[in-house]
Amino acid sequence: MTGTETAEDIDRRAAAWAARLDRGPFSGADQIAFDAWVSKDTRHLGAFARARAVALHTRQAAALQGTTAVERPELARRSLLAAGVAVGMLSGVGLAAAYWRRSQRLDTARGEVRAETLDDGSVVTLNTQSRVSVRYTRSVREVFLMYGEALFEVAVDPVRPFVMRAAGAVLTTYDGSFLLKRLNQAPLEVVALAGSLHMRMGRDQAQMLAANQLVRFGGNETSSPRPLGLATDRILAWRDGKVEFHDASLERAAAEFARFSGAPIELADRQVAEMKITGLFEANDSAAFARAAARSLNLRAEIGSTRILLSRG
Amino acid sequence: MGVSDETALWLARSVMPHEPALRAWLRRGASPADVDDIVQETYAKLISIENFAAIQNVRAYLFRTAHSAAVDRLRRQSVVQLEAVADLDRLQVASDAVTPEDEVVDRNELRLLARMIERLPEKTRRIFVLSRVSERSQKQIAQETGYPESTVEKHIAKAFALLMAAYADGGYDAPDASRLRNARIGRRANDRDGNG
Repeated sequence: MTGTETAEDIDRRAAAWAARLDRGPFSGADQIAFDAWVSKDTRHLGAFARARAVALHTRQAAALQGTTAVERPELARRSLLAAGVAVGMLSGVGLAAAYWRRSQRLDTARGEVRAETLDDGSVVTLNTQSRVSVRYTRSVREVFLMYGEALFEVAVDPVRPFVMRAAGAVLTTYDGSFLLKRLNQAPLEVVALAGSLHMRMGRDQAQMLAANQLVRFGGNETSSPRPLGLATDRILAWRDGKVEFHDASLERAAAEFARFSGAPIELADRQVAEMKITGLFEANDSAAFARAAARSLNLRAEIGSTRILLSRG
Repeated sequence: MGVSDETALWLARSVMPHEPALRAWLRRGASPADVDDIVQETYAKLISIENFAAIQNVRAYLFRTAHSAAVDRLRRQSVVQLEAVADLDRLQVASDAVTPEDEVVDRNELRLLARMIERLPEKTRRIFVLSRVSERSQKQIAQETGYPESTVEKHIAKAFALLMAAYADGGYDAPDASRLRNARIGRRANDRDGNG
């Protein structure tokens, strides 16, 4: 009778299965035994899910590498001793130092928006499908936008610059609020919402970006900073899971929705693609957008779970 | 039946940080021993979700799922106590009150992970550091240390079990997870002896 089995017994058993899987894929016999165990009680599968979560999550500890000789294979025979030293180093001051020295990575999945407060109080907000790595040292606060879109609200620190890197550009500030966007193929877009930036691109291109200015970097070219001309809340609608269009083509709108988690929107022809739309929509609900567009532009919307087609008549 | 890596990572990053709050909430309506069971059943329900990235408020979703697991559990019992039903009703109200503002921001994830690893018993910790920090396979650890592979696997399992307990009681934000865990076990033992 499974009722007598305590949750702790189950956790221990689940941990043993996770450790077994950590060694390598299940053998045929393991799989049969595992399936039999899991099917006995729903709690077994739930406990195993938690054990797997811990198993995968603890792999992040690899980011603590580099503090001691523990990672050097030639010290293999003494590695247990070295591991002991590593753990010693990781405690107290050593631990904090190790943490600062390693970079921290922030990711969002498709359709996800996430805000993280960094240790100096600066806030990074990631739009859908974005990745930022953060590396703070005593002398510099450094972030790297690998892809996607991120808003950096920089806490004031007059002695430690905040340096944003993306697509070869190095953007330095001490405080302010900046939006960086780096999508596939498109040039890097930088918007200063508050505060100013010193921008460096390559060896000898350097200029300033002031508040309410926008600049694009593409290939070897840099556009001159130009006034923003748009309200901040419109640019940041994505923070609330929304997208806003003002007289935008359906083609642009479809491309924007493709970044989020709803079904992709296809446009029947050029004429439909060039029609203009204005409005505020749920970023993850492309179907609602398609229905609204169909209503206001007198189009037909075929809405399926894997694709949406907008066509005339 | 299994758990994909993607799902496991989602659980670790987005769900487990809310577990201490979930357990505290469940304890208001269920006995401590039941709380552990409900949490396990909740995770079993969560892993069947296909599109978890679309969940906007993970905390509220987690609480709702746990509530439904608690209701299922109550239905399975042959004798339903009226009090338990009332308790569950109270939980429902609390669940609706959960707002996105309650979201936990696990800003110091890595630092806390290191702290949890530090608290493992010595031999387990050494083996686990080789496995997680130095990224050695269990086989490599066995070769390097001279321990049989089965011993290495046993200590990895022990580390997982201890960390599961630490996460349950707030590994992410509790200053001393092991102390809390002990308190919980103690309380449960009392429950069994007494009114449990």
